[in-house]
Amino acid sequence: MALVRSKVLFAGLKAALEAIPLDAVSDPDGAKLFDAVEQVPNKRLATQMEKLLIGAKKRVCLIVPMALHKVQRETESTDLILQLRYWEVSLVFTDVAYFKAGTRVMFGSDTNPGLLDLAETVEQAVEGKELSNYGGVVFQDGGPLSLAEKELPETREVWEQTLMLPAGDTRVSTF
Amino acid sequence: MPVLPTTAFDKTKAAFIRKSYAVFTPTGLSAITIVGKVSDIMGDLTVVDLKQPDAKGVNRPVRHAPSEAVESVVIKDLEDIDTVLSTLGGLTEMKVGKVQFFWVDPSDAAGKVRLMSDEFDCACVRGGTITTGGEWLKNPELKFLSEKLGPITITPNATVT
Repeated sequence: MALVRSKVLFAGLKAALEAIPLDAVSDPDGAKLFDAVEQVPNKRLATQMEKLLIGAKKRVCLIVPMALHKVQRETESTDLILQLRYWEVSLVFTDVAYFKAGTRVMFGSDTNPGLLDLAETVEQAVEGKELSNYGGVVFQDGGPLSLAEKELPETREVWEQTLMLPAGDTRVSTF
Repeated sequence: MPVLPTTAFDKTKAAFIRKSYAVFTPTGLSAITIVGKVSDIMGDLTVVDLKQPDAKGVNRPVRHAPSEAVESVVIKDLEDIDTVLSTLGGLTEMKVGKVQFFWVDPSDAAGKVRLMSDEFDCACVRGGTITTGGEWLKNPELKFLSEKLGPITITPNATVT
């Protein structure tokens, strides 16, 4: 087995997200796209995002491990198993308009980039980035999502983006 | 009585190569690094035999001797058409020079490479039919035909910097 440790992968993803500039063209060394990036478990996401936004944070991103997938490679030897490991991860992010409703959340305004712009900036910066020797980050489906929990007064508009992180391989002999 | 071997199969010796690098230095020019996913390490050894009749008069080979060897390495499935063209200067051109190969297992420890060839004299030509349309450009190959007066040396678990 030649697995890439999950802690190393997720730390690399967090660092990549934290390094994205808000404006890569005119101010690449200026403000960052996200004020906070946190690794969280897949539960009570609205509450966890709310906690991050308190404290004058504007744009925040949650890294949520979803599942570890193993893809078996077709080989001529059925007795020597080779599987590639991939971590499926959801990024859940929003911006200053988190508390706003309507088009400003999705399409942005003079004062906030909006979810579409955030999503594309993340895609440009992170897609294909190699966090291990096993290849680049693969983006899969993404889209807007409303987070709601009982104790919160309203739903929260966020963007959820699914990624696959190459995470090493498994080599097993069955003979 | 013969002894039955009980040696367990060592799966760590099964090589998993994900990248093939060719570092090609055309004569008189700078080195070019070619990165590929798939490569064929070709080696044909022609063997002639000496036959003698057995007790029943049936000719059987009793000695073999190598008489001819042809070696080449092909980097296949190159989507990088720019490098193919810049390496050769055209799709039906040939360049001579020296080449060295590195075959990398992603689990290789730092400073190690799963397989490495020596640097050997070669002629480089294109192979494969290049197919375009609707997806990645497919199939160009670069063939490195050995011109070394001796076999290509391939070293497992080689040390590199």
